[in-house]
Amino acid sequence: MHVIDWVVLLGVTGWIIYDGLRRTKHANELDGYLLAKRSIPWWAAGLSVMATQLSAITMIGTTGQGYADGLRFVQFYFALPLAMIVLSMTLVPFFYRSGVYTAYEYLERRFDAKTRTFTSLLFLLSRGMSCGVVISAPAVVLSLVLGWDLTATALLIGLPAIIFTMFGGVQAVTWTDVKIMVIIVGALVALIVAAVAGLPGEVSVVDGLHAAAATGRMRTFDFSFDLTNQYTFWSGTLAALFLFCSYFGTDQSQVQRYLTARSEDGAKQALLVSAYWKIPLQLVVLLVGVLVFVFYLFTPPPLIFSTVHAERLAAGPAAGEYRALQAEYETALDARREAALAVGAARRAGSSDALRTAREQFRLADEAVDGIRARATALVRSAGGEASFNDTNYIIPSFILSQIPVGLVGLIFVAVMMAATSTIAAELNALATTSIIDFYRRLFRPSATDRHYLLVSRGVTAFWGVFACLVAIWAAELGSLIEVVNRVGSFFYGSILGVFILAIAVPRANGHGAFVGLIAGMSVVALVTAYTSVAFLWHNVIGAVVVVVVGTIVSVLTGGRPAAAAADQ
Amino acid sequence: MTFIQRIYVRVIIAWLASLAGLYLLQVAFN
Repeated sequence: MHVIDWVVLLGVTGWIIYDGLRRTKHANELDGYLLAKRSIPWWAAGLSVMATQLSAITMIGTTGQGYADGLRFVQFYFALPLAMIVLSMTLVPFFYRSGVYTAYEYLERRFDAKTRTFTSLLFLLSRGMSCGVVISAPAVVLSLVLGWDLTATALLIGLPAIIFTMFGGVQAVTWTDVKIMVIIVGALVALIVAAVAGLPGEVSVVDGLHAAAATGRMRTFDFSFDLTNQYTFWSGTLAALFLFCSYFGTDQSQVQRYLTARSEDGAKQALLVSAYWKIPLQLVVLLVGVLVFVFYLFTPPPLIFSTVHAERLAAGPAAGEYRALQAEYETALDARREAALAVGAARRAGSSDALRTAREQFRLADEAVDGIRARATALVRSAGGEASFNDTNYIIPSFILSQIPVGLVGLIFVAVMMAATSTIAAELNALATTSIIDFYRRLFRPSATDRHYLLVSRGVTAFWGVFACLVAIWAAELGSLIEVVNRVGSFFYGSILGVFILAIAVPRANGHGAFVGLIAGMSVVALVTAYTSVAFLWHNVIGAVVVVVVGTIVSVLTGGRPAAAAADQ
Repeated sequence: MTFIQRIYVRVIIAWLASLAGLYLLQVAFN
């Protein structure tokens, strides 16, 4: 990276942290530190909700997915606006009016201490580990692409989050999120402009998109009802509704964002910002990938986008095989380029038959290129001994470094890194809040001073931050452990939503019902995962339904909830 | 209708418009 890009990277990162801390007020009081004294404007809380959900994996992996697979992933978000409306009408008023710090605190008021402790423990375990993954995934890619040390890269992503979350609390997290969202959108627009500007003069964007469409990359709807397929209209609208209700309604890293709003309506409006903008934003993210694909139809792309892996392969024992693939690849790229130009020519000639034939020829030419790339990737995995190597994650970083002007490169990498930083900051903030409110204050020191809790909150934030960085640095060694924890995390997502549905929709449900229902829901999801190939989005539906059914039955069998308490709800 | 209910209506209209836009995008290129 050029020295100017370094200046931009460090300068913008420093300014974001400084300004986030500068805007922090009342951070020396517990409700100022954890809830911003409910003073955040709805639009800022709304942007913070979006920034938390958007991580560096979105910037690198999802754009790469757009390149390789097209737009169909957008279906995953179809239910999000509906989930936001459902939450605004149900959980948000309960949380806001009860004045809780955490979503789990509400569960003790409604059920009992064991349900609260169990759900918050699940949150701490899964989020603590996932924080490490949020750092390590981009750190691995960026350290290779930019030639940085892995530990230094992980620290560059993690340390700013630890610093401003520790000192500024939720306000610093929110105000940095606002700026990060603006930079992320700017970076995505810059990538689109660069991809389009790089097309040859005789090719229009529409020509290129027609070629992309021939390979299925412009498909946005798949109406097939296939429970094993993650990205269909039905999984995106029905199953994902449960996932988003669970994520935005019961995950403390999100709940804390909108509990800082000035009013109940403000909290609802904060959630609805995502309802308006998430689908268009996701379309832009995927479109970046599709347009970079179109760009590389006319500018030869590397066989392996990860330069480090390509160089290792060229210097290793499989060098001969790699060179042969390289020669084959260049011929296939020439054929694909001609086929792409033919699609444009046929489109301008206005003959639908000629266009259909040209598109089919292009599809075959692209399949040939894909086939060679798949063989090269397999070679990296076998000869390089990296079974989990995924070249898709290197496409966009490679495009940024080779096609974006100096100065802008630094800004785009700020967007990538800060996307991770904003997610981690929100999670550290939520982990600290849950640790203090649901464990420390509830179980160990119920009546200490605000000053004491504040001091411990800062210490706990630092602890979780260091823990996340260590997990990130040792991610390779911890591989299977992280996978196990993430899997357990996915077991409880739908189930925990089921507990909240019980809390609100079943007045006679009691603590025993909720607790047994939660364990039953997680167990059933574990069995479904082990013995079927049902796509994970549907696990959320299964978990929620099992909890509600089992929880209701157990509540009835154990005497239900006193009618007076149920009537009070 | 309350203030927030009016926003719900707008969100649903924006949601349907997004889906329609995405569908038209697919139709235009396929």
